[in-house]
Amino acid sequence: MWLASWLVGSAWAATLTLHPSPEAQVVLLGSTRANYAEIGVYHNHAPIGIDVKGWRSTDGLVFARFVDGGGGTQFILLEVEDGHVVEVHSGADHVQLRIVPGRPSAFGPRTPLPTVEELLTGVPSVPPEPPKIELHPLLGSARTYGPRVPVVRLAVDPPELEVPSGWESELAAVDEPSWDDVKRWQKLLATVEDPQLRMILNYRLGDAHRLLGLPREARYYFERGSTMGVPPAAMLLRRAEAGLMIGDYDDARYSCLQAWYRDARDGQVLSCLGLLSLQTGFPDPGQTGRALAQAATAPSERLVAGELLLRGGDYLAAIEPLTAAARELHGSQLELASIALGDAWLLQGDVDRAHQAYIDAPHVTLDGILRTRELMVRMIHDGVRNWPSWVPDIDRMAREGGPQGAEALYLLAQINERYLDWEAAAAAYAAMWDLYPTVRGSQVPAHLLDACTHRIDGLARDSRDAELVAVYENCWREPLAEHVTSVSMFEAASRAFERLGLSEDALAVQLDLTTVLASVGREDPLQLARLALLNLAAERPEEALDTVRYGRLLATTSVQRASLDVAEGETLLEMGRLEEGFAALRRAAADPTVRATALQRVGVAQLRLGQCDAGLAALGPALVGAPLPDTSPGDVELLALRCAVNLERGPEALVLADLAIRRSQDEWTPKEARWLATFVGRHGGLDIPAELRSESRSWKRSAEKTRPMPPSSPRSPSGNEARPAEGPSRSPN
Amino acid sequence: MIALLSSAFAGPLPGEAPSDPSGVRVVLRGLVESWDDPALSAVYSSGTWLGGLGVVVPVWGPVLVDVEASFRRLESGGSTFEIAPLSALVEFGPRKGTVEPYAGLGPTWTAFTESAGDSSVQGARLAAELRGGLRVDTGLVRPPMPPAGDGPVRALEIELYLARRVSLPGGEGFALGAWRGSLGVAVAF
Repeated sequence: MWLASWLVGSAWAATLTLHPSPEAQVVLLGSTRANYAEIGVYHNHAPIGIDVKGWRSTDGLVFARFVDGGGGTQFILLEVEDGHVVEVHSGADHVQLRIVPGRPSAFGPRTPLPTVEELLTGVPSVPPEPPKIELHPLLGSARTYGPRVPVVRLAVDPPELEVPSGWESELAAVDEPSWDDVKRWQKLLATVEDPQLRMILNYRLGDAHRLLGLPREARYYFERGSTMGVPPAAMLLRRAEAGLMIGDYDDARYSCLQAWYRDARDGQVLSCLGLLSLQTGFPDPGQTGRALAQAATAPSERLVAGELLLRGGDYLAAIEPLTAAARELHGSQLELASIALGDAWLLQGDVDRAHQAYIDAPHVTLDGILRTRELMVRMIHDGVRNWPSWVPDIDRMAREGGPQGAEALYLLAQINERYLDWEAAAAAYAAMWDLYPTVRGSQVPAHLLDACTHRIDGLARDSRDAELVAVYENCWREPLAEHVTSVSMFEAASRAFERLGLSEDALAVQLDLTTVLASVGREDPLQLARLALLNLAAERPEEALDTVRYGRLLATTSVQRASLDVAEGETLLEMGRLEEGFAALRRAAADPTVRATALQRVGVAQLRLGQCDAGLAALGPALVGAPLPDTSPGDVELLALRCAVNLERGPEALVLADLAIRRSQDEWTPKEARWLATFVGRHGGLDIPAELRSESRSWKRSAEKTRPMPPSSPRSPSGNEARPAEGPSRSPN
Repeated sequence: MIALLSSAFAGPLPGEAPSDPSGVRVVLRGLVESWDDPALSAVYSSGTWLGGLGVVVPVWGPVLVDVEASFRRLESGGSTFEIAPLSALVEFGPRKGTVEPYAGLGPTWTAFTESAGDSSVQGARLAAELRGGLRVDTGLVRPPMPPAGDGPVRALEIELYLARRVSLPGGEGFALGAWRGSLGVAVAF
């Protein structure tokens, strides 16, 4: 027994499989708690949420949580049983997370503090902490305010420049340079040749333009000066600052790096990278914030560190640098620090401290943001039950636009989510997507898709097709493709369009679905089979056959191949290639999962082709049981009814007429079914129930006369004639 | 252009009086400037076209006063630079037949605004401009034969000049010294 236990224990307890996109990077992050493993997935655009949802509690796994950080970054939090650890093993097209017996070596900081070099080469993110409060402001890269140049400048000391003797007075620094100084230095620059002198003059001119509020011209001089003599780190940092101000982020990043090589202080370089990260998301904000919080010496650097930590989701760590910054800053910088501090306390769940920080913030330029925060605090105090009474105020704020408009829309979305009003939540998220492009790299797209999927799934359950397709059309935007983690929304929408008779739209949605799957290398032959059938419904048989051919290249299982056979069979029958079509459907019937469908399709095709004996034999019992899937309600029953009339099977015809009337959702099928039932009853001498009798005037007139039973269709001995079974013509009403 | 110049040198028809462009002229000018400031040249453009309007008023004999205003807006990477030179030159232009060569000198007030996002920097500087050029009567406007009275337009000329603007002390802003050139159409009233 002990030997068996040992053997079991020595093997891995469970294997969890992920299918990320080929370029994705899956990293096992250091964990802060025993029994927990955090896995970061970067640059991934495959819907791995589906994989995680499919995991079940197996040996070793207690709990799995999936967090979509937006922009291709996802995190998986795994809770494992005592004495187990997680290992990451990469395969050709998948990644395995193996839960194996073992003890983690240590629990400390999530990951070691990154160095400047690591930040510049790219260091993985750490998972954001979930907010510990019911209502919260926009998170991550969607945050609506933050330190930017020139409100926050790099803390750069004046450089000690080696001025050649005799030039001291000409090249002396000026605290507040004037345009005359600019002209003087420009004239001098036009005359001197010495590289050191030219470098100093370029620095003076760059600094003068910077202080005069002309960042583009300043960047020009700093850039020129950087290529002459031995440029000081200050020049490179100022060049980076000017680059940040005018949006030349590549040059800013290059200059930050050059400043680091020139021995700029770590706090300065990290602050430079931090401001860059706030604008571009690279280097990783959370990691840069962690490094900067350690290295910061100036209050503005602490402000940047705090904001970066907030963006990275490390709210607790943000509190300390922001508190220190708020003590020393004033004006616009104090406003930024106070609101950020309030946000950090709020996201940590401490509403009172958050409120105090918001109160302490001077109103300089972020009045709208402060109003949303005040509203948020009051709503939290007021309780969830009273949230709807605040909606008019929030709605008004949302209409104002700007940063407060985005925050207000996010509040609305959160309220609607809390009240499970997924449609309203989706509408708010969709409005954010349309109006505020900065939210597109954040968690908002994932929330939008989540809300849409919830709503569409609910509508699909209730068969509310018209509403479903309206919600889908409001939700779906092509750029959302990279955020899709579940395709159920597309499937439901495509089927709803199909049921509404809108084949072209159903096809378009199915194409969206297959495009999403193809873009992440997860093409699904079953979805391609459905795409082929929709192509057929949209009268594109050649495209349907092409799709089947492509699907066959990807099919690996019997079910996939059989589903493609069904699509091919139906297409070929529609194209009049009967033998090939029936052969494909019979081939499909070899698979037990698809057999019933394939045989039903054969039966329906036989009915359509007038092979009534065979068709009724194949379909009769199935029709009585339940409507056939993937057919228009009542259509097949009507086909069978016509065949039964042609074969003079009166009682069978009456049963089929009853089924057609009950199942049909259009107005013509019941009329035709009643007409045929009345016809059969009258000429076969059967008693027709009242609900099957035709009210048609033309029938009543014709019924006055005695008419013989219509002759049955000429049939070959085998009953395989190819003429469609039309039955008696429709009665004009 | 060739047709215009040909007509300018063709002179009046026999028995017809020559046109008289000695009144006030309004000149529509297309200018090109090449700035001295290297930063401005690097950020926006080393030279640019401007649209301008000049009014040339005869003062005494061949002495004229030429007042000109021009404007141009440039955009680069999210920032906008607007420049508006205003000049008032005294010109000496003795007329020889249909051609009037001239030289002028006078002050220029060059205003600029650079704006990016919410911030903007404005300024204006004093400069001196030295200008040399010529005006050629196209002969397209013929004087009326008596007893008909004069019409409002007395002559139509083509004008060409080259100039150098040198910044002087005074004012705040970029030293917008420049080489300038202009081709214009003048209407004499």
